[in-house]
Formats: sequence, structure tokens, C-alpha cells
Amino acid sequence: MNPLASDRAGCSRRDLLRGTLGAFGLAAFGPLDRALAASPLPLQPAVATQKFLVVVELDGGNDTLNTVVPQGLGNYTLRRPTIALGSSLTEPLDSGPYATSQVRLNGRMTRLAQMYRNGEVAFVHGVGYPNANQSHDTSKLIWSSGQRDGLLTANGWIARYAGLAAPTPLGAVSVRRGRHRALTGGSSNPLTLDSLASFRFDTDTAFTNNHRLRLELVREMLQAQAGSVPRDALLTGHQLADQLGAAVTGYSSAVTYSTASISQSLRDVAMMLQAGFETRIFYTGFGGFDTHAAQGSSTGTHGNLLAALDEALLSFANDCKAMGIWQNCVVAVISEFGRRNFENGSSGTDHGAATCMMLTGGAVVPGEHGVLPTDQDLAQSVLPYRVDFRAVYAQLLRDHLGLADPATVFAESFSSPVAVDVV
Amino acid sequence: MGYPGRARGSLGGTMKGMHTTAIAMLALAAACGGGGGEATAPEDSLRQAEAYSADDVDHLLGRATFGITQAARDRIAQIGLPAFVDEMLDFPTDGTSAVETTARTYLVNGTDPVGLEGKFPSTSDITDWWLYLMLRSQHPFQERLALFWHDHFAISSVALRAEERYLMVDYLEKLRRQGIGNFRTLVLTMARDGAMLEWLDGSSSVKAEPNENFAREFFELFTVGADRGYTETDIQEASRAFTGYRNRLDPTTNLRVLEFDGARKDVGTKVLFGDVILPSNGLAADDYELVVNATFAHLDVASWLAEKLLLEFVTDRPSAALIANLATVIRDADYEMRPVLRTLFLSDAFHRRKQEMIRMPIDFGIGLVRATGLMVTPEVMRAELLSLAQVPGEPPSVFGWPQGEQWLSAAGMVERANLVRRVIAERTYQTNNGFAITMPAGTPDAGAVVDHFASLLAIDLAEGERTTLVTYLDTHVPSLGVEQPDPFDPSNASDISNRVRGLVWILANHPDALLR
Repeated sequence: MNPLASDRAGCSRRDLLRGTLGAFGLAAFGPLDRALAASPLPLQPAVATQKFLVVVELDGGNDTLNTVVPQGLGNYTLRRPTIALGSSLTEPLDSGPYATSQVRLNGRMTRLAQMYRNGEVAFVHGVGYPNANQSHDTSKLIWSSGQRDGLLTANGWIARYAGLAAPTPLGAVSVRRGRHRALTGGSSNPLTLDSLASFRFDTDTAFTNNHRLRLELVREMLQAQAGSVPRDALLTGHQLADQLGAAVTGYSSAVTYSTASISQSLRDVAMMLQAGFETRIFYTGFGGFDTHAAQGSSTGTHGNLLAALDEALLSFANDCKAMGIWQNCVVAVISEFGRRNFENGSSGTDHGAATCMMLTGGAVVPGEHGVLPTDQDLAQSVLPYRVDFRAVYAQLLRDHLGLADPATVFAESFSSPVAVDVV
Repeated sequence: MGYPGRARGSLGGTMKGMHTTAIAMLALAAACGGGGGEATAPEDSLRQAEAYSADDVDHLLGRATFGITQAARDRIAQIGLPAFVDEMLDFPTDGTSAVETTARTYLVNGTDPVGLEGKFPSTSDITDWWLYLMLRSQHPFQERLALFWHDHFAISSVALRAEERYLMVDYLEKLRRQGIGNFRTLVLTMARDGAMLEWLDGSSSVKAEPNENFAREFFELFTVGADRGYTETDIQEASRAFTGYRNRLDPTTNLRVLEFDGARKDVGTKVLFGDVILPSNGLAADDYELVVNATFAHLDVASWLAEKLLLEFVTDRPSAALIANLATVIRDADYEMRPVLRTLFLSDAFHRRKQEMIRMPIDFGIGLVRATGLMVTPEVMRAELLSLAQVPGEPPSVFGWPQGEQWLSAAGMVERANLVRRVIAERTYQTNNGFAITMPAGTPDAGAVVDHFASLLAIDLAEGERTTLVTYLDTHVPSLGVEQPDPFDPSNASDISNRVRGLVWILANHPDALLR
């Protein structure tokens, strides 16, 4: 028996079809506006109830020294004569239960600063991995695979997680990140969307109505066929397109998102959450952080990127709160590396090593984690890592998403110099 | 055994007239190496059949040449399937065909210095060059075989720097032109290939610190398979032998060149497989051939190549007997690919396994275009294959692409439908460039058109499905209002542009279109 066939009883599909489609003719083509063939899987009616993780990747290597700015370090202003943030910082974070005077935020991140004071933000300082690689591609691959070695054969850590704990078409989803390597490889096929609204059966624009009829016929034929691996895969594709389409049309929210791509991506995530999908990990992000020249301070290139992030994070937080799922949420803002401690001759910064991971969400332990850079650290070329990024991911998988043994996802042994407790 | 309900040998009433003329062909002298023995089950036998049916013809075209074309069917009807296989395996390798000449324009950029035209392609340029060949070549098996080797010796152009990316074209040209030659020679060619030396760190592997990356994949992926007769010690010893190359940025061309440099080479004696002593060639030449020859002489390369060929062209689950039979053929042919592939494509084992493998995205997209005549630009095909995660030139890792049911993700099903949508909707391009959908001859009615395209796309319609599609073709769908009966008219351009293209979309969304 062919392994692709699931009707193992041996009855032929053609036999089953006789009687179901036999009388199918023109009379069966109802009016064009009739509903598409009913989906055997009901749409999820309620908002998602499970805990979830949203990874936001700042592509290009975010200059975290100009994002979460350490205070009182002489080398910071000494080594960054034109780009150091002095007056253009947010108001101090020295109020509220997680008050700190050790860092302040780039002046374009006022919303995140307020969220920090509210106890909704965690900073993990000194995140990286051993033997920092300063190539974008290699470092991204290390972050995506969760491996320091064997990169040519590595598959993505989210793909591995999804294969183990969320093996459905919507178990893990990436938005606007292409076929991201964190989600590829292994036995699972996490969904990679350009955007939610674009995931659909494209219309033949020259003959729209004819196209609608074609889609109906395809669905009716699939429904009538006996189960088999290819038939079931196709039918699942149709159901998925319907579900995601319904998530878009059914979404309603009082929250305003900006038109920036990261805001729209997080809005797509909110739509999927409101539609009640079982997604455990969302992966999104945006680029432009490779600021080798004229990166500016709080104004200019880098500040504008951070302002877009700031606005998006608050909109998403407000939306989650409106849906009543903020307590289930962790957003992890990552980047493949930080940048050099010193600025280059072009008023920019070159590739660095350790970075500051920012977490928001009702489930995070707010405040500062890891080890803040010291003045001696800043005298070096790049920041040393004190927290292995896999230690953060592993804790999120275990204590937030409930994966019993994170070593099943992060199999390569690592030891984080400093332990963290972020959720 | 085929996919249940797909007894393509016993044709249902729906396809009458399309397939009933079984093309009986006398077998030529059956020279079938091993596997013809009494004890071999038919599905494991490499014996050449005495005759080949129309279904066998379509099966060969679907597995070996991306998809069915009427022209290839006609050629087989004329000369017989074995002679066609001989022609298929005898493609020209001088690179001078008109299609190849035009394809190379995709590698050229206006900013290329004089004399270095085509030496600075982007990753997309490389993909477009090859897709152009896949879409239009008169020798599609050449491209399909190169695609198999590309997956076997997987390199991604994404990992190469701009000044060395031309090496990716060189690498693919070697696969295209030498892939039908001797496998042992091909392994050696690949070991010394510039892109490979960069990709698996051969160019940075030096005597003092030999890099084991290439040596490990040499055994595990390229010659024998993981843990099949070699040890970690062999990897270390082989990595010592795989030294002696470096890359150098040529300041006049601004291209990175890979060259032999005896000073980087470990000239000591190496010992492989416990007791095979490899004295070095010294400083004048590399020792790569010594390792390749020792590996072929002492390890079971033939079984690994047999397994890989079977996984690509025959079945997702080759039996041990079938692997052993093909390995015997490979050894008897001394690794010459042409006789091995001839035996494979004429064998019982091949022809008994119809429509039971998953058609991967490249086969699906290229096959659709070639079968229907609905040509698209390589740029269009690249964009669609990117959505489907199978861009030629950019495999995800050294392991190549996934296989089988991993191609059946729910999102992939929607993306495949959108690829088909894109192909049928490129009306302007197709019209302006003289391409037209391949209609059946004469003045066919709706039934004949449905049968024609179902057959070209290897779709076995159930009776009710065929009725539905005939009705679809005989229906006018206004932009507003309710559809009305309106017999299909092959002389009406709108019926072709709308209904027939729509039929192709529906057919390509049939589960059978996912199979080969």
C-alpha cells in the first residue's frame, strides 16, 4: 500500500466519488454569491487563551548602547563623541517598584519608558553567546538555530519547538520575515506569512467571477474526494486561508496602530490572537539597524527606528490588554548583535557582540536582569556576553510556554555565565 | 503500486481516446546489470520491460523531465521509449545552444567591467539564469539531473560574497555538463570546486589547523552516508589531505580566485580506514584524488549513490534489495552515469512506481509551464518559488532541500495555487512573446479539452470531476449575475483566455498534481 494514501481499506477514490459528484452539473453551480464550501473545521470563536511568545527581531544589529543607555559611565561619552545620548534621553526610570538609575532610554522611547515604570518591561543586559561572530549572516544563524556549532546543517529553534509542542499549521507563525531560518527545517512546517491580509488564494484579476467559481469547484471536488495525504494537505490549505481571512475581517479593536511595518506586523499578530488560534510563538521584526554611518542620536536614522518600535510595542500592549490576554504575553525584542562601543569615522557604529534584550508583557519579571556594562567593558571594542541568549529562550519555553525540557529544543550544551529569571 | 484510485494502467471511461493507444514497444537488447536475477521481486527488479505503455511514457517524462509535453510524447511514439531515453541522456555539453546563450544574459549587469561581463551576478541573477534554462531548454533532463546533483552537493549562493559569487555559476555549469559523466570524477571535481572550497571552508583549511567541515560532508553527504564505514579518525586524516587551497582577491579583476598553494598543504602521510596508507603528492599538487580513489576503493559508495538516485527518481522508501541491485549496476558501470540512468529509467522498478512521490515545487512550477505552454519569465518563477521555499541556487543548508511530505504544508498548498494563478494570469507576456496555451488539435469540444489538459498534467479525473469540468468549460460566467450554459468555442479567444486558463488552475489544484 502506498504510504501516501490514508484510505487503507483499499476502496478506490473513484468508487467513493460516484454518487457524490455523479449528478454534479450546471444545476449544482448556484448563485455566485453563495458561501464557499463549508469548512469541516469550525473557525475559532474566542480569543486565544494560551500563553504566547512574540519575538521581534531588529535586523541588522541594533545599537543597544544607544537604546538602553547605561548611565554614569565616562567611557560612553568619551568613545561616542558625536552620537552619545546626553540630553536626548527619556526622563529617568527612577520611580515605581522597579526604579533604576543605572539606565535611561533613547529619548524616542517615551512609551516604553512609561511601560517600564508601570512594571511591564524587563531589560536583560549582556546577552550573547560564546566566541561572538560579527557577520550578520552567521550571527543570525546562531540566534536562529540556537547552535554555536554545526551551522550548515542546523534547523531553526522555533521549528524544533513547533515540531515537539505545536505541530499544527498555526502552531508557530512568522510575519514579514520571509522564510526565516528560526522557523525552517525539521519535521514541522511553521507558517511564514508576508502579511495576514496577503495570505489568500490570489484572484485572477482579469476574470474575478470566473476565479471565484474555480475556487468553489476546487473545494467541492476536494471535499468529495476520499482522504489521502495530498488531498488532506490541500483541504487544510483552504481551511487555513479561510481562517486567516476570517481573522482579518472579524478583527475589531479600538487600538490605533501606525502605518510602520512593525506596527502592522504586530497588528497581524493581534488579529491572530483575537481569532483564537493556537499559535504559541510569533516571529516578526523589521530592518534598518545596520547603522554604520550617520546613525544620529535620538533624532536621525536610529532614533526613528526606535520610535517606530516604541509606538508598535505600546499599541500591541494596549490591544492585548483590551483582549484580556496581556498576562499571557511575552514580547522579546532581539537583534543578532549589538554594536561597537565606539563610533566610527562616519558617525556610525560597526558590528559588535553582546546586546541588551528587551522584554515586555504581563508575564515578564520586570526590571533589570543580567549584568550591566561597566566602564571597563566600554573601554573594550565590543561588549562581553554574560547571559547566553539560549538561557533566556530556554526559560521562556519552560516557564512561559510550559515545555517540560527545553534541552529537547536547545540540544547543544551551553552554560550561561549568569543565570536569568525573566518570567 | 500506485496511489489507490489511480490505476493509471487501466484507464477509466473519462480518459478514453487519450491513453487507449498503448504504445507497444519492443525492448532493445536488455542489458540490465544486476537485479535481473530470479530471486528479485518485480518491484525491485532493474530488468528492462518488453514494452512500455502510454502511462510509462508519461511517468518517465514526469519524473525525469519536470513534466509531460506533447512534443516529447510524440517523439517517443516515433522512436520508442528506450531510444528516447538514449536521446535524453545524450544532451550536448558544449554550452553553445541558443537557449544557453540567451540564458547567460541574465548573468550580465551593466556595471560589469569590459572583459568581465557576467562575472558579478547577484544571487537572483544566478537563479534566473538557471530557471530560464529549466523553463525553455530542449534538454530538460540536463537541468533536472543538475538539480539532483545540486541537491546532493548542496551549495547556496547566499553564502558567497559578491566577488566570489561567479563561482556558483561555475559550480552549476559543472553539474549541468559533467553530471552525466563519471560519478567518481564528479566527486573529485566538486571537491576542488571553488564555491565548494569556500562553502565548506576548504580554502581556509591549512596544515596547522585542518578544517574538518568538508571532510565530514565528503563522507556523510557526498560519497557513503553517515557512519557507513568511516570514523572520526578518517575525517581527521581526510581533512589533512584536503588542504592546500586558498582564496585570493585578484586586485585587477576584483574577483576572488581559488588556487593551489603548496605551502598550506599537509604533506605528511595519511592513513585512512585503519590501514590504507596515502603517501602525499608533495608540495606540487593536491592530494584530493588520493582520498577520492581510496574512498571509492574501500567504502561502499555505490550503495549510497544508488540510494540517492532511487530517492530522487523512484521511491521515498527504496528496499534494501533495490538499493543492492542498483549498486551492482553502478559498480559494473564503474560509476558512469549514462548506463546507470538508462537502466534505471527503463527498469521494472521505475515503471512500477507511478504517482507515489510528492512533486516538489520546482518540478511543479516548471512542469506546469512546460506542459501547458504558458511561459513566464524566470523572475516570475523565482518569486513564486521563493514563496514555496525552493529557489534553485539557494538550498537551505548543506543537506539540500527537504523531501516528500515535508512539501505539503498547508501554506505551501495556498502558495502553489498562487503560483498557478500567476502562470495563467501572465497573458500579456505570453501573447507578446508568441507563447500560447497548448490546445488539442482541431476544433475540440469541452470534453476533449478537459481530457487533454488533465492528461498533460497527469491528473486522473473521476467521472464526476470530469463532468464538473466539462460543465465549467461549457459555462459563461458574466462579471455580474448568474452563469449560463454556453458551449465552449475553441475559436473564441475569450474562451481560451478565460475558461481554458481557469481549467488549468482547477486541474493544478487537484491532489494528483502534487504527485509524480
